[in-house]
Parts: sequence; C-alpha cells; structure tokens
Amino acid sequence: MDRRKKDGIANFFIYASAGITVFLLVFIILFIVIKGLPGITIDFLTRNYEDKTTYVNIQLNKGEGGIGEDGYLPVLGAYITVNEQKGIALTKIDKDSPVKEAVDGLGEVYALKNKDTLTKIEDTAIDSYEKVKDSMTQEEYLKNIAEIFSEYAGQSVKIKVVRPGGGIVPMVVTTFYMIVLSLLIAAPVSILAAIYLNEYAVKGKLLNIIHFAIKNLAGIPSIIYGLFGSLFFVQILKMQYSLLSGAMTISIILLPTIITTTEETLKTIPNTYRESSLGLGATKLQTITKVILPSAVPGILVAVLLSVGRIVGESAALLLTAGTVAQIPKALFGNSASGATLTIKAYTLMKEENDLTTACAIGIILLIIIIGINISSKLITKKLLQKKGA
Amino acid sequence: MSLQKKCKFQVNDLNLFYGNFQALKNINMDIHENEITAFIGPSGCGKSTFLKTINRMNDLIDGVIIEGTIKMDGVDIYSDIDVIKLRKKVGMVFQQPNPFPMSIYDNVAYGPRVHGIKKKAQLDEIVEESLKRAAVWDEVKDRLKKNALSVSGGQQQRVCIARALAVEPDVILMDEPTSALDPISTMKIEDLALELKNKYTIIIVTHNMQQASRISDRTAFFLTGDMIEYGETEQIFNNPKEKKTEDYITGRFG
Amino acid sequence: MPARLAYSVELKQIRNDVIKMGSYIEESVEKVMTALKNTNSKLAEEIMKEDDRIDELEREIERQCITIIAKQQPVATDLRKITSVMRMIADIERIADHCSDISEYIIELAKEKEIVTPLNVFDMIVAMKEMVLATIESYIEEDVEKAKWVIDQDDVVDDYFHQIKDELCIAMKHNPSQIKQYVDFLMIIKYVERMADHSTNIAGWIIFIATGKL
Repeated sequence: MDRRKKDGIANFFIYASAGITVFLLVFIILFIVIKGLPGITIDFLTRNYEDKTTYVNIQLNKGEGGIGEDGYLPVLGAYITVNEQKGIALTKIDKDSPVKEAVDGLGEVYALKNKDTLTKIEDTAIDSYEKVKDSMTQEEYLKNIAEIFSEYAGQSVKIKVVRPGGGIVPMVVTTFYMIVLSLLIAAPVSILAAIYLNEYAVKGKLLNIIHFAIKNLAGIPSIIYGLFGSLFFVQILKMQYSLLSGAMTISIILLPTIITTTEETLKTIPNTYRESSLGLGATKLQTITKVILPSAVPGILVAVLLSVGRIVGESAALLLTAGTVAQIPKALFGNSASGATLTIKAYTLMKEENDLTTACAIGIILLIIIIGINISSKLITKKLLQKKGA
Repeated sequence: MSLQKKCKFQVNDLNLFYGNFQALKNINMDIHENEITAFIGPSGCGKSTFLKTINRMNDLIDGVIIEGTIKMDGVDIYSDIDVIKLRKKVGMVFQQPNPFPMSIYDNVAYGPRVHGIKKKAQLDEIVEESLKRAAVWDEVKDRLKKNALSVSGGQQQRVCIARALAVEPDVILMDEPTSALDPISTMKIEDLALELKNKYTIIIVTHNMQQASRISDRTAFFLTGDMIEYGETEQIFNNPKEKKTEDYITGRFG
Repeated sequence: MPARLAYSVELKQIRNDVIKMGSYIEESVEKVMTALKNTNSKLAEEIMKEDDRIDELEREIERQCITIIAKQQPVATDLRKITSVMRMIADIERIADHCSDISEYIIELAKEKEIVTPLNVFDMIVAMKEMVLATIESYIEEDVEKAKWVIDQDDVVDDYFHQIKDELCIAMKHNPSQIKQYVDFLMIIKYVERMADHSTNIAGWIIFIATGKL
C-alpha cells in the first residue's frame, strides 16, 4: 500500500471519529431538548413537585352573592373555573382579594395563587364537575358553588386548598444545598491536604503511597462510595437518608479530584516565588498564605467549579444516601432531611413513572447548568490570568 | 589598590553534600564589606550552591548536609542566628526576574509587611525609597498599582532588587541576575550594583565572566566544588595564578 | 544615570592622565629650549630628573589600559582609544627621553668653550615645539585637522634638519678645533628631528581614534 493511500485511510478515520463525536453530542442534546422542551413551563420552573393540600381561613367579602358571566365570584374577589379532577380552580385574582390574606392552620399567611384548587368549604365538599356533569351544565354547577359561598358572605370560612405540583423547585433547591454543603466540606479539607502534600510533606515513600492512594480513590466508581455512605453515614451514624449523608459521601468523592487539581496548580507556581518570599524573611505560613495561595486561586477555582459539575451529575452515590423524595430538606440529617437532586429525580421519573418529558426537561436544566459552569470556569481562568499579567 | 575593607563573611572549611554528592569542597574565604564579590565558574561548579548557603536557602532542599562554618560579622549563621533574621539581613535576587503576581507596590511592600509594618504612610515611604535606590522609581512611579509582571524584564528585575532592599538588608546575593535580560537592561543592573555597593555588600554569581570583570572588586573561580582561585578581580583577569583559572577566563576551558 | 558609569569614569581617568603627560612634555620641551639658549647645565639636569615622573606616568597609564581591556571589554571607538593611547604614550615617553638626551649634550656643551649657535636651530626647535603643542591640543580637542597639520609640519622640521646639518658640516670644516661642539649640535638637531617624528606618530594615532583609519 503506498503512502498516500495510508495517509488517506488514516485521515478518514481521524475525521470520522471527530465527526461521530460531534454528531453524538449534537444528537443527544437535540434529543433531550426536543423531548424535554414541552415540559418546560413556568409552572415547571416555579412549582413544587407534589400537590400540596392546606386548610386556610379566608375572610370572605360581604355583599352580593352569585356569579358573573365570566366566572367572577365577588365574595372571593376572584375568577373561578371548573377543575378537571375535583373542585374549582382560581384563574384570576383581584388585587384586593381576600384570598391573598388567607391564613393557614398555624396562623401564617398563605396567599392563594392562580390554579390553586378549592375542594372543600367548611364541611361542604365541592364535588368535581365530572361526577355531576350528567345532571347539570357547567354554568349551573358554578352557580351552585357560588350559592354555597354566598351563604358565608362576610364571614370567615375554612377552605381546603390543593396547590398543584409538577414543578422542580424542591430538586433545584436540594441540588443547590448539596453543592454548597459538599463544597463546604470538601474544598477546605482537600485544599489544605494539597498544601500539605505539595508544600510540607517530605518527598519519599510515604508521599508516593499517599499519591498512589489518591489516584486510586479518584478511580473508584461512585456506587462504591454510595454503598459506603449508605452503610456508614446513613446507618451507623444514623443520619438516615439525608442532605448531610449525601454531602459527606460526595465530599469523599470530590476529595481526590480537588486535591489533585490543586496540587497540580501549586506545582506550576514557580519555586522562585517561594524562595523569594522566604529570602525576604517571610515564614513558611506567610509565604503560603500571601504568595502561593493567591497565585493558585484560578486553579483552585477551576477545581471547585468542576466539582460543582460532578455534584450536579452525581446519581449513584446520592441515590443510596440522600434519598429520592422530591422535597426541600428541612434539616441536615434525620427524618425530614432527605431530598432528591435534579439528576436523581430525572432517574426516578424515568424508572418509576416512565415520564420521559419531565425527565428530559430536567435534562435541559442540567445541560444549562453544566454549560454555564464550563463557560464561567473558562471566563474565570481567563480573567484571573489576565490579572496576573501572564 | 582597594583599601582593606572590613570582613563581612568568614567562611571556614565549608563542605556541602547533597546526599552522597559533595557539591562544595573545603571552601575558605573572606568576603569584604561594601565590595562586589563575584563567583564565576562553569555550570555545576558549586557557585550557586555556595551563594545559597550564605542565606541558608539550601535548608529548603532535602538531604543537604553542611559542614564547617560561615560567620557573618563574627556570628555563625548556622548556629547562632535565627534563619528569618538572617534572611532579613541577607537579601537575594534571582536569575529570572520573579516579581510576585501582584502590584509593584505590593511586591516592594511585601517584605516590610511580613515583618509587621502596617502603617500606610511608612510603607509608602519604604516603597518609594527602595524603588529609588533600585533606580527604577522614575520608570514605575506612575504605575505602582499595576501588576509587576506588566513592566519590562529589566524593570522587573530592578523591582525585585527594590523588593530585596525594602527589608533593609546588609548583604545582597545576586544569582545570575542578568542572564535573562537584554544587554541594555544588563548594563543598568550592573550600574545599579556598582552604585549599591557603597551601602551594601554584594555577592554575585554569574556565568558571564566579563560581567564579573566589569563590576566586581574580587572574584572567586569555582570548579567542580573547589574554589580554585580567589583574589582581586584585576589580578584574576590580568594575571591569574592558576592555570585552570586562566583556561576558564580565556575560554580555553575543557 | 549614565550607562556604565564606572567604565566612563575609568576612560576619563586615562584621558586625563594622557593630557597630564602631554603637559609634562610641553614643559620639558620649553625648558630644553631655555637651557640650550643659556647653555644652562643646571636646568638641563632638572629636565633629566623630571624624565622619571613621565616614565612613571607612562607605566600607570599602561596599567590602566590593560586593566580596562581586561575588565571592561572596550569595543569600537573605546577600543581604538585604548589601543591608540597605549601607542601614543610610548611616543610621548620617547619625546621626554629625547628631552633628557638633549639635556646631556647641553651639559657637555656647557663644559666646552662656547660657540656661535648655528643659525635656525632655535627656529627648528620652535617648529618642533609647535608640533608637540598642536599634537596635544588635537588630542584634547579631538581635532583631526590639527593632527593633519602636524603631519604636514614634519616636512618643515626635516628641511630644517638637512639645512642645519649642511651648515654644521661647513662650520666643522672651517673650525676643526670646535668640532666636538658642532657634533653635539648635530646630535641635538637629530633628537629634535626625532621628537618631531614622534609627534607625527601621535598625530597619526589621533586620526585613527577619530576615523578608524590606520
């Protein structure tokens, strides 16, 4: 085979491989975007995941009862409509409507919003229109309900309100908590460890062993960490499926990455900085805090940002330690501290509910976060390097 | 020719080992105050190693064993003085201009700050004075807040010299201070060294023996860890006593 | 701050010493003339003694030149200056030697019966003195034209030499008893002619410094 043919074949494979990579990337992103885009609505971004049922007290308006042509209910100061499954839903609320000053059982204000569904007034259940649609028209149905409200005009009534879910707010918040908490644990520990390894540790066998250990830790699949976390943090330390269990487990996963990246950064700092500083009579600690660390900030920041990506993308370890409940954790550990991150929810949605649209919508959010992190890490490095004058 | 000046350093039977390798062999020399002493010799001859023993920079390297004594003003620097104090007295300028990645002002103020000076007015004064002494004030006075890495190599090196001067040392060690600079900047640094010797004792390591001949009062020639010859620069370059010295300075070495 | 301050100072020192040496021979030439006019053996002895300080200065300048070459690696004009100075001071020193040589003959003359000084001898010495003066001035002022004038002037002194030599031969023929004095004079004018030659050499070096042409 002559050389030109060889070159041609080699070139073909090189271009083909590059092409496949780009094609796959574009295809996956397009697939997720196309499947997920219908799922992205304002509700999706702003609502809780689960429906929420609350009993509230509302001081109804006085005066005329009845209902307007357009579904306006004067005593509520709001427009109502028939809800598909049960009760009536609010569609438009006046500015001075009493539902905005609704008070929940604990005495705190629980302002009602559009799409909140009212299912019970005092002891009178509001049947869904489905049940009665054979016997009356929608208008008659709404009129009936208006009459029930009229009875209580000017009085304070207890109403059962169901706020519909379907949003990802809890997962976003949990993800955010997880990022902050994991970094709070992992970043200081690993940066200090890296400083020890690069600046203090005496070169020799021990250091080699430590480096070897770190390299291997970085290679262990995260499910192993998850198993360890679920055994140690969740069970032995009795933290249960919780934010802290998850964050601790993730911190362990992050340690080797941040240590290695930070150490690499510290290694690139010219030794003459250390010598100059020490030569000026600075102590080792002064040298590290005033010269070495400031110079290492860009590298450390990049390490931290990449860790954020890792946390956002982590699934196996969190599945076994932080749980799959779609709620905002109310404590660091214990019963109510469990919470699912976006990734975990995407997984459970597919696995348990076969809800591809919502899973893909979460995928879009994750993509945006990851791309955002990559761009900002690029910008930060560039900016800081410029500042360094390099 | 030159008056017998006060002796700043007395080196007695200095031996230095990196593990099993002996980098310095039985060095004995007196280094005089307010003079420029140059160390010349081929790469790996031990001249930089010797320079670094004078402010104990070799302490940073693992496995270094030092025998013999170096006395500064009669005080043994390896046993009777705190290393921080020593390094405050003995400043160092390196081969590559290596300002810290911070402003010119912060670079020069670094030393005084680590030694506990915090007052702005006092720092301002030290910075100005040091930059003036390093003959770079006029060139950088309008950009003190700019990053030190943004000025030219020659200016960076003089900022580094100013940084060393800011802690008020007695001695300045220069480790090939001009090897990374262009000829004009080199001449400026050489002129600066000549000016500084009135106030400081300067020890310079250089690959460039012409540089040693131009600026130094005394020259020591090192070869494979031995100090072959040490004497007044004029004598070394006009009439070296040792054949090896002559071979080296005439470029017939090897 | 001027670049290479120390080097500039050293160059200047050499230049000043050369000028000092020039002023010494100016003095000596002047004294030689006076001593010859009056056949003053005391002044002549003084001139011979003063030769030592010029020798010493020559050695000092030589040492400075070698040191500056060893330590400062002069190039271009600086190199021409230094190498030329090393040749010039040798010529200057020769002029001073000749002053003391002439002085020896003045002492000899003083011992003998006085004769009529041959015509033109003083004119010749004046011409030579002018050359020496012009040489030193041209060094101080770095004046190539003046140096060229010195080189031209050498012919004038040579002419004087041949003329006086002929006159002395005639005089010797007529006054055999005073032949020793006439020979002394012959030697003196030979030395004067040599001094003019050395001035010419120096002028040549001054032109070399300025133009780089040998």
